[in-house]
Amino acid sequence: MTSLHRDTGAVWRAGRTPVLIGLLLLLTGVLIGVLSGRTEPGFLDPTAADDTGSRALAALLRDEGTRVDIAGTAAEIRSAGPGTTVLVPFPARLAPRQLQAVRESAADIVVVAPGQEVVSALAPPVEVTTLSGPVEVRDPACDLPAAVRAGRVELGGELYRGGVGCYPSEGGAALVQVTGAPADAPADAAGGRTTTVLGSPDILVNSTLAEEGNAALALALLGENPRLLWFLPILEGPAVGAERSLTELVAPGWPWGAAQLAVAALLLIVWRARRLGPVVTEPLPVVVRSAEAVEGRARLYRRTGAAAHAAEVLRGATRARLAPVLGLPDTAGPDPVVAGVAARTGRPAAGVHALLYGPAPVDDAALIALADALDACETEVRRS
Amino acid sequence: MALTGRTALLAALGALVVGLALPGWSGLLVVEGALALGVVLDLALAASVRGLRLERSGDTSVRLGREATVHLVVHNRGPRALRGILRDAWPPSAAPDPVRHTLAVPSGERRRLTATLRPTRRGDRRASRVTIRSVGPLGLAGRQGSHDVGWTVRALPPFTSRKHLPSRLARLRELDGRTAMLVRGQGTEFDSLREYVRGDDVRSIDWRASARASDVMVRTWRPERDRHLLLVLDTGRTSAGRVGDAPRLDTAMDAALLLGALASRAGDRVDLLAYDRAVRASVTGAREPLPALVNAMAPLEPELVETDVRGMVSAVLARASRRSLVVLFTGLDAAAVEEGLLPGLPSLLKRHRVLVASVADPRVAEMAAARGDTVAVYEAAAAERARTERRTVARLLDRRGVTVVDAPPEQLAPAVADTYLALKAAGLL
Repeated sequence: MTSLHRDTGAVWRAGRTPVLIGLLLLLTGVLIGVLSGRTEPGFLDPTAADDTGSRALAALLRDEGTRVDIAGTAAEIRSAGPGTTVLVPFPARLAPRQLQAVRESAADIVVVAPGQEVVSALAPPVEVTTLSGPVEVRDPACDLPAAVRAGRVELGGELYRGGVGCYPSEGGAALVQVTGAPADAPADAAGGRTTTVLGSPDILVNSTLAEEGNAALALALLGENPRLLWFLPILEGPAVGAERSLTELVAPGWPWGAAQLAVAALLLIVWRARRLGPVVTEPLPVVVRSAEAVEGRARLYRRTGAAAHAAEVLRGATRARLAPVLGLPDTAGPDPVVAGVAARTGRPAAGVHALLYGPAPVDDAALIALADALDACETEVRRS
Repeated sequence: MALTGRTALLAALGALVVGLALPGWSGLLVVEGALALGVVLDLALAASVRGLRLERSGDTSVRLGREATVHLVVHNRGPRALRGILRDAWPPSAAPDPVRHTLAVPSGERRRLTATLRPTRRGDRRASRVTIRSVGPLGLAGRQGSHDVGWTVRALPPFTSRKHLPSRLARLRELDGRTAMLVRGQGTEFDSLREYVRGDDVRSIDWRASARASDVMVRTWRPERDRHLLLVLDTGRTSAGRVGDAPRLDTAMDAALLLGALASRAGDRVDLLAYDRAVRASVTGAREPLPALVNAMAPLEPELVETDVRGMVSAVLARASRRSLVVLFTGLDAAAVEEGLLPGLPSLLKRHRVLVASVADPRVAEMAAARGDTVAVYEAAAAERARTERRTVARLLDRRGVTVVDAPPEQLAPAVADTYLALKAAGLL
């Protein structure tokens, strides 16, 4: 067994562990994906009919004459002017550019459970006071018309302070409303826009929409304008024309750092180029294959088509080998050799003479046939 | 002086300093200055290589295919500790392991480094220089220098035909009358008389001695002793040809060693001559022939010159004053034999017995048997032609009274030994 070829069994034994690990990882990934996807299939989705979806609310709004559209990109938000309400159910998922679009929008904004960062961007005077207050039935306790009309609702979650605060508890208000855009927003964000911050999404989802005055509050907040943009953000690349070149992105000192790297490369070359002593040379003996001269002569015969000469050499060699078998001296002439071979093999003497002393073959095919015939004859003589 | 990888690594890390903290010429100057300072410090504080004392010890000869162990002692006589790497360079065919050693020699102490050599070719392997890189305490740079610590390991011929020796020695004892079976030959010498035991050859009964004694006495014989053998290796052009795995010369050496070992056990004197256009090696009158032969053969290499056969014959005549068996290990080249050997033969044969041993090429036999297509048939013709020429030359020599042994490589040594035993049994030495 000198072969280095590996059979399939060996390949499998060597590769099964990585393959199994890979399969396990894949399986785990698929399981996690399937299970996590199943927990909230359509949370706050205006098309989802399950408990946490919001299809009921969307249907109610449409019945009331409000156009409900789903928006996914910053561009759609920017195109919305006054007379539109933008609902941001997942403020944490907004990309910076999308948040910027919401902030600069002239439309009214309803945002669900935003963190401090989003609140500061959209409604600067508002602050987050409690991160997870109790979700409970609360009284409006303010003079916001929508709240007053809706009465008691289920709210809670994040609590805020600042602006007009409704449904308060000890930690803060579960609903706050600010009128007017942030001070540093562009001028086209009209001064009349309202930004409403909800502490929890309970008044919007299918399962709890029918409780207390939830539906009334939701309809009042979202149905105020003839159009509602339901903002479910998708991943966006940078807008056209906003790309920055690589040199703008890296630190300003990079040419100098590169120069230092060049120095390092130079030192690397110096390190590797320095040998630990010179190469040791050694005179090697000449190697000539001994049979090369014979092989060369064979090629020469073939190239010149020396079939006649080759045949004579082969015949001579056969005769030289047959003579001692027949009990003849090396110098024996044709007649005794032919007679001896004929006697031993029973072949006709003329045929033997033609084989051993006959005319030269005309071509290579004849030469090959002659060589085989000589072999056969010699075998016969030796066997007899 | 030599830098280390650490210098390059620090310079690369310096790119962060220059790029982020100090962009500009000042940053470059600071980093390069710090590096240069470290390098200079290291060079100043590294142990001196020149002041080291190195010594070698260990094996000086090894049979080809075995391992030789060579030690190198590094003595640090300087005031500073030596840290770094050492390269003990040998020619590639000496196959040293390891080549590089990690060194740590405190001041005033010595360390012994050991390397094993497994030569891949026969001959003398001379150690090349020992190079030492002594690295400073920071590991940024070091001093580098070399020492020439001479040492030579001689790779001896492998003598693979040793395996044939026991059977040939048994045959020799058979000749020697020490076994019950007595071999009587024309040239055997009378040894002693002893009482007849059953199984003895009745022809060897000495009737005259039996008459004097009260018992039947037989004569015992022993083979000739104290004969001279001169082994002549042809190291010329033809000996370079590779037959099978080894050059012809190596095969010839193997056969010569077996013959030498056998002959020295048989009580004969064995001398050696290696010749092409000049004497390459010579052993004369050695008390222990085998080690002397092995040692003399070890550095021989084939020379790419046509052998001067006349010169060889006169060298043989000059060496062999007494009647000897001259064993010529040479090729059976028609031209060389006819022009060189034949004219010199008469003077050689007048006083000596000559045996010509030649390596036959199995490849030629293989080609001669090839059949089937054009290429094969022409190869067969060329091979037959070569064999015919060899046979003619062998017959020519045979007719002059020269014994010719022409055998493929693996059979040459036993064939030569057998021929020697046959000659000895026949008392032809």
